[in-house]
Amino acid sequence: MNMKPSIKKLTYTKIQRNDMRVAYLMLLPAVALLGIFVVTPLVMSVQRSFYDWNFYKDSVFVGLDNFRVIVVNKSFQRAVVNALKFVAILVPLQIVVQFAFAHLLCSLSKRFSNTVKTAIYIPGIIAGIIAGIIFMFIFEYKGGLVNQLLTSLGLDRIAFKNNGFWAMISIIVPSVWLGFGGGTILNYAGLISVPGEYYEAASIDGAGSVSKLLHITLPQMKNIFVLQCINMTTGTLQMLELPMIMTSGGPRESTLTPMLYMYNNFKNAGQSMGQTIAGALLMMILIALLNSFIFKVIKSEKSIEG
Amino acid sequence: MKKNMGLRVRHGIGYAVASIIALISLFPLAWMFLASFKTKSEVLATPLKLLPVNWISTNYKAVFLSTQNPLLQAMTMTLLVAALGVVLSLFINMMASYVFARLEFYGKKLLWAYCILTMYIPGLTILITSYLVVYELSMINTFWVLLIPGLAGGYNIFFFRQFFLNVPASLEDAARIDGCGRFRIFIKIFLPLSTTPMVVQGAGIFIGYWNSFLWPSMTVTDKSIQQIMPIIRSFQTDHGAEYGRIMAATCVAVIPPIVLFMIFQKYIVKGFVLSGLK
Repeated sequence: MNMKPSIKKLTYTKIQRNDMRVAYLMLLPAVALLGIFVVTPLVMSVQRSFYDWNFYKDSVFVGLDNFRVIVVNKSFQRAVVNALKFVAILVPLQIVVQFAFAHLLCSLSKRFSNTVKTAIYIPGIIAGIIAGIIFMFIFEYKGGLVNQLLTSLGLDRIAFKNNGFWAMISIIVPSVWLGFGGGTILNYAGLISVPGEYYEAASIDGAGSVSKLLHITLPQMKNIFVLQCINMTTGTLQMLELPMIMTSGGPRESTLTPMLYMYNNFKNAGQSMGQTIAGALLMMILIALLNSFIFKVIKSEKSIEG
Repeated sequence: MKKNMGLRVRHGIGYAVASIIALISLFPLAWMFLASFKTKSEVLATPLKLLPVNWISTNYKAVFLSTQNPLLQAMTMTLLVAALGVVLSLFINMMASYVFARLEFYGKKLLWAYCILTMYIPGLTILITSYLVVYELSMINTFWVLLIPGLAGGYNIFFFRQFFLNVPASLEDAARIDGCGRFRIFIKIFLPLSTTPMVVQGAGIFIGYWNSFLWPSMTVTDKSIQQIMPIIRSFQTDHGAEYGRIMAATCVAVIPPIVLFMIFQKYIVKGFVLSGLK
């Protein structure tokens, strides 16, 4: 190591400088695309929410008026409440069902469970549009599968589109179907990665299967549950295709979702876009709040268990 | 001995339940497939028939011959967009991932935060202003509006960075000594090492493009470049209760993702889990 320190430093910085230039060049496409198609629209959303405008008329600055109007807009209110209902039903329902089925698969032979996993994963790659169409056919009033089965059992047909409760069910069923395989596989992976020694130690201490589930399995699955809760909540709050196809948001807006509300406003160009965007920003805040709430609740449970 | 019996019965029930659930899960697709071969009167007929009485192909003919909703053309167009989307998206995002995993430069933390935070912006919030952006760029009703806006993605950058962090530094150092530049190292060493994650993410990107409805239906009205899902939707609204035809259209539209899934099944299921656990 007799090299002169100054030369060493010089060459080092030269390489480093060169690396930096390459780094910026290689980052450029991704950073630029995100800037143009994600960050710019976000900045524009904030800016445009202060203006009264639509695709036919010029913008007028109105301050916070759009927010004031949208929060008391009946359709928007219903859409938000519906979305929260969907979250309250779909998130716990899916987590329980997927976890339970993954738990069952863990007790079966590896070859068998692999086949089952492949089969249940397939619906997960089906488009929302197509899932909607298939289930619309299954829930068809006169000749649909469900109503045919009901009538053959001597029961009344269900008008899925005319009743708020059944309209919701008709959206929940395909949602569960679409997410079932992927969620189960994720849970399965989490379950098999719980160290076996934990269970052995618990058995020695005389713990039963319920106590093992409560004190080992569920706490070990916490990260997966957080991930699932956050993904499902974010996704459910932005549901579009299923309500659009199954119910068009009806009856009487009982299954209207915020995304469908915005999509309809967009298609109906006379609608105030300023208000629509104000609503979209409020939804972003709602999503962020709900996610941080989920994060906090599940994390605090962890700290209690120590 | 008795306990053993009980365990075996319970196991048997477990297998039965799992099989039934797997079948129920596949049933809607089977139902769609069968309906696509039924006649108009048969498809919603009482009493219910599981199998078509005569397997007819007229539904498929109607689908392929529809000039209102050119399904085959839409599929070709969507395949083209999705294939280009996969290649470009992987390249652009992996390049960024490599830089974040391996290079040091001013503003690294800031740029990393910038890329990652974009993941948390809900699509709904930027829906209408994204339209305004592509409108300003004169991209409405072009091929490019379908392809370009979705290329870069914070999640993919994050995913590949995790993967690249685990590539041993010795591999790279050897190439450095041989005088390889960073970009060449990325192309010659990092890309070939990443085939598995590339298949996993690539399949996801493909399915994302294939299944997308909202964005193409907002930005494209020209049916000669329209993507498959808006075409399916318009076919469905045009044909009301002719479920045989509609199911024939949806059957055709699910073939590419299912074939892709079958080919790469092992990678996809494994990779889905990997990306989920991180």
